[in-house]
Amino acid sequence: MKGYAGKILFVNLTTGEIKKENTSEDLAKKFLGGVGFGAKYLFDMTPKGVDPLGPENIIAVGAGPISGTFLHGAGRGTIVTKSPLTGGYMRGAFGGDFAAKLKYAGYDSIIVTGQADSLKYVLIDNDTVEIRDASELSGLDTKKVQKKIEEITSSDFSTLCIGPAGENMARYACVIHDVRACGRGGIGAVFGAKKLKAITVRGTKDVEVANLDNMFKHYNELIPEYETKGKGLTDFGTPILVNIINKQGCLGTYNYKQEQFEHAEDISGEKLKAEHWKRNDACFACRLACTKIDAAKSDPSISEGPEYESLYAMGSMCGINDLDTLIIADAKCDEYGIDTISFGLSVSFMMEAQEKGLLKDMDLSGLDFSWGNRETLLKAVELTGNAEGIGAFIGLGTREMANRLGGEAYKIAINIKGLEPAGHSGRGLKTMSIGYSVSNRGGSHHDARPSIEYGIPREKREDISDKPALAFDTANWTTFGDAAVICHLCEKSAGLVLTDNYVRWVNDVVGWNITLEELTEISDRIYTMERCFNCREGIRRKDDKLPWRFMNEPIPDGPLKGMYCPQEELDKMLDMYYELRGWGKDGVPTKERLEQLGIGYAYEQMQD
Amino acid sequence: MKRIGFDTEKCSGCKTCELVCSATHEGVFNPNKSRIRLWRDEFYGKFNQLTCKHCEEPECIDVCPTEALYIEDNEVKFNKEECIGCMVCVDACPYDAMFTHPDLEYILKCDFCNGEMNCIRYCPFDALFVEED
Repeated sequence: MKGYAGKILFVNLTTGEIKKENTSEDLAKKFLGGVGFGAKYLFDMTPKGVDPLGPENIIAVGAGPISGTFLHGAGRGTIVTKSPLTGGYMRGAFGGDFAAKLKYAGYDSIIVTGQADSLKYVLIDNDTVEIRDASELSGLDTKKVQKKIEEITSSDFSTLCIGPAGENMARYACVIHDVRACGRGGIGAVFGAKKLKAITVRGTKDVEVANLDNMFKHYNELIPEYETKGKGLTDFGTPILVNIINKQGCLGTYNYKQEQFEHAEDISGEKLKAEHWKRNDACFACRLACTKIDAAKSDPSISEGPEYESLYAMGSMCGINDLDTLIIADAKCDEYGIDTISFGLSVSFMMEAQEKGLLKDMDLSGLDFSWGNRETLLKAVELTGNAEGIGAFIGLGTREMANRLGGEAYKIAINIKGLEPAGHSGRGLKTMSIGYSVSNRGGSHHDARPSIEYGIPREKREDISDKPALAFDTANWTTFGDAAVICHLCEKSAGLVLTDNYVRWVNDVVGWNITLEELTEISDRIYTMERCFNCREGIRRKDDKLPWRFMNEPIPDGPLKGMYCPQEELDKMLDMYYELRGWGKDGVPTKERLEQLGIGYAYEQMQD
Repeated sequence: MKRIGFDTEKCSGCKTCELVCSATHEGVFNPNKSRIRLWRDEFYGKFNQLTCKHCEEPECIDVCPTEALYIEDNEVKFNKEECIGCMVCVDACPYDAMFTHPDLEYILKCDFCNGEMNCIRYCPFDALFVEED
């Protein structure tokens, strides 16, 4: 079986046992790799109701068959675990070159189990795997951790690590590799709970493919697409979206009290490029180089490339219109290891809560949560990362903060299943209304994708008849992408939904002869396996919903004024979506469908 | 002599050059088997590339005991069949531009892919080009 490194590495932090098993062909054919393997191992290895921050939870770090090849976007890696933020299934993906090096070291996935008794890091150097003492890395931020590990080892190791937020188990602490985050759902807190500060890897082995000539041929055929599509990402990175989405009228602003930001131009990709840009940076095997390194004017030593999502979450959502503040906040979030989306929306929740008088009896650690308060945003990063004062509260995320405040606070808590949504409106984009609500993760824009709907006019957006299918098709592409593993930003050149391009890549690399229909079934199986995990945790149709505001308050301003997603409309879309997936009316996959997918054994475990 | 030229301002560090190089020469994807290597200059944050400079007076040829290295057509050529893997040339190269891999019993040195120059062809940002003097 070409394409695969051939081994799965198991690291037990409780016992110190290190085990290597062959990657089975049956597993590969059913679950492909990356998050596919992660979903299967998470379901099989954890008990119902597993404590996300306990020793029984697992962390599955994944590469896929495409990882380590030269295909555009093949540098990405994935992590699967149970989320402490949502209490459900979580997957994340991250750029850089870690996953490629994992393949070169000889592994398709790492499954971390147990809990160490003191802070550790895992070193993987080809066949050598060691669990090492990390006491000298304790409390260090992610930049310093990576630097220190490089000093201990050498510059050809690549490192995944957590910062103080992960060690302090902020519920949306992230994992950082280079300057890139595996951001969503508190995967960093799971690392922290396991006392796992970092994993570092180096490898010198080959990635062999089944048909190299065909790979080059199919790559060459796509070069004209690569050279013309997605150039805005090369020139400006994802921040190009600030002005585009704001003009469309669906840029989350002031905690979604509005969806147009009057200061959007001040935090735009164009301004970032003109006034702060230093250089482009590419992930491994990427032709886009969408990462931008931007410097703060007030302190040029602080450089970071805030993505669109960070500019939305900490910028328009909090009413902050200063790029210097946002660059510094973004850099600090990366250093502490904090997800900028959940953090930004937690701060915007606090700002609206203060406005509504919901924080009157709270000790706010001296912070004033007025809209647009720059100092508050920056100080809140530190307090959240260190779990100090009001930071310990902010680090709970919007769902839990609203629970603790009680009353009507839930009406301003912007999350789906506990995960704060990305900057693609659940009111102005019906694909995201249904996509977010059914997402196994919650408010993720990398299950269903918004890209297609941004290209269509309002009247077609309001028509819900085709949106469940659009959410289904785009989620099948992104699930394949996270299993293969390939960056979702190559969708512009290779296909916004699953296409024969992706089928060719798999067949060329692995040597199979599968069809588009069979590849779609692999994605569907992985997504349904993830759903089974959630259903076993008690998640049902009742949980497939949107934030109260998205379902009850229409967009008050701009070109999409009046759009929202009331329960009745969502119900219609849920029925259509469940049917496409072969899930029952209650949102639980049917026994018949699970047996068709070859995972019938999951059915009994999901019953109440 | 001709050689692979490099524009650091254009390079994004994606390493596509290393990947197509190892695929072209060894039939596998493995940056450790590439004849071209990228490395980041930590001070400037930008990338540099290292590959055979095709020197006019190559020290590698002077030390090679088997004539596996020789000058022809304005470039330093390498005959893999003659290489005995002694690695003396690797030590002699003043640019550290000759590489080895523990699996391979010969050196890794740019040979312009017999004219294909895939690193240049596949560089997404035109950071690589042919330089001649």
